[in-house]
Amino acid sequence: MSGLINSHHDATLGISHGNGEPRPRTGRLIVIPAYNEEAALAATIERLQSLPDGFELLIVNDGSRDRTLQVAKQLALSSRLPLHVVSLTTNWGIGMAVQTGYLFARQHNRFEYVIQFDADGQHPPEALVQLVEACDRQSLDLCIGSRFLGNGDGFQSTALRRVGIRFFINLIRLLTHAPITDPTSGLRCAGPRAWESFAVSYPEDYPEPESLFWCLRHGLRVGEIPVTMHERRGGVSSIRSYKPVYYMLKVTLAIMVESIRKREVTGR
Amino acid sequence: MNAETLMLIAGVSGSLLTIHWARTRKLRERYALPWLMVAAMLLICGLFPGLLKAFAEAWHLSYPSAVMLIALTMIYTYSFFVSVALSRQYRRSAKLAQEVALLEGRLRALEMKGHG
Repeated sequence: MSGLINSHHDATLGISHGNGEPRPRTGRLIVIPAYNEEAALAATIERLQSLPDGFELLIVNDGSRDRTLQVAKQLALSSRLPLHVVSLTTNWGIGMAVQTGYLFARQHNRFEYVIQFDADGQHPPEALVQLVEACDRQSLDLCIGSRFLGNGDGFQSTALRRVGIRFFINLIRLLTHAPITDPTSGLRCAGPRAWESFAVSYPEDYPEPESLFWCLRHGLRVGEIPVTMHERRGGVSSIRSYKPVYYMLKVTLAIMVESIRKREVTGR
Repeated sequence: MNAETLMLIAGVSGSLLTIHWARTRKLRERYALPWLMVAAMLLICGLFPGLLKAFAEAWHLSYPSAVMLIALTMIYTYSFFVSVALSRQYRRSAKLAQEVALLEGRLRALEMKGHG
């Protein structure tokens, strides 16, 4: 699938409706991919309720085998913020789950920012407002919540994973000269230029470093803010213990292949 | 032209073809990886012919049967995993089709209710 998103309208304006006036897209959609997260989901949604109005939540159940879907549907009944639930029939992996969120945003045409947020309680909700503010203030297309910026408090992953992260930092810096500090962070806020492209094409598994590299290579504005992350409260990481070698090889190959691909047309 | 040169040519063209297919998004990186490894193995065998000879001697095989053994093992393993992946894919698409059918049924029932 080549030729990603085409520029069809101003980034912050939606398609006109009825009276010819374009409806402004100001909403913020928080996409929460959830695979077997019945234990942590309720607490995560509870912590998100303190967000200001204008934020909407979307739980994407990724074919969980536990009661994640039932828990999500129950939470939708009591949530103060609008909480949507969509469910994939089988487990397709984090990339497809998150892309379902971008497709949801495209279908509902009222969102300016789409933010990826983990269901397992690792990500601090207060960072969400800061991510959106950073995007607004610095006109960013993608803003990442980085564990490694700032004073380095909080949970920073295991030693082995940090070696992998350092490798991707150097690979991305080598290819783009961008000094990204946390390329594998799953806490990220995408503006229209980024998420409209992601809705068309997004890596299936381990999508973070690859999609970040795609943005940098296509001249999108990428930034980072420091966040303090917690240890996961339940569920399983999408990178299980026997997978790191495959993870490293696959993502490296994907980035290398992307670097020799024809550049696609992006909005604006 | 000897076997080593042939392996070198096959290794280089194998890598280039695989990367080209991945680049045009016709081949997922997940499936490109094993093919790249095959190409890399061919390259290594072409560059260091002693490796294959040592392997053949260690297993008391002639050179051609050693090559045959390795090639068949790789072809068998890869085809087997492709069959597994295909079966998984079949189950997934079947489930998808069933879910869509059920959803369509529910939608139609809702529409009927709405009309009357």
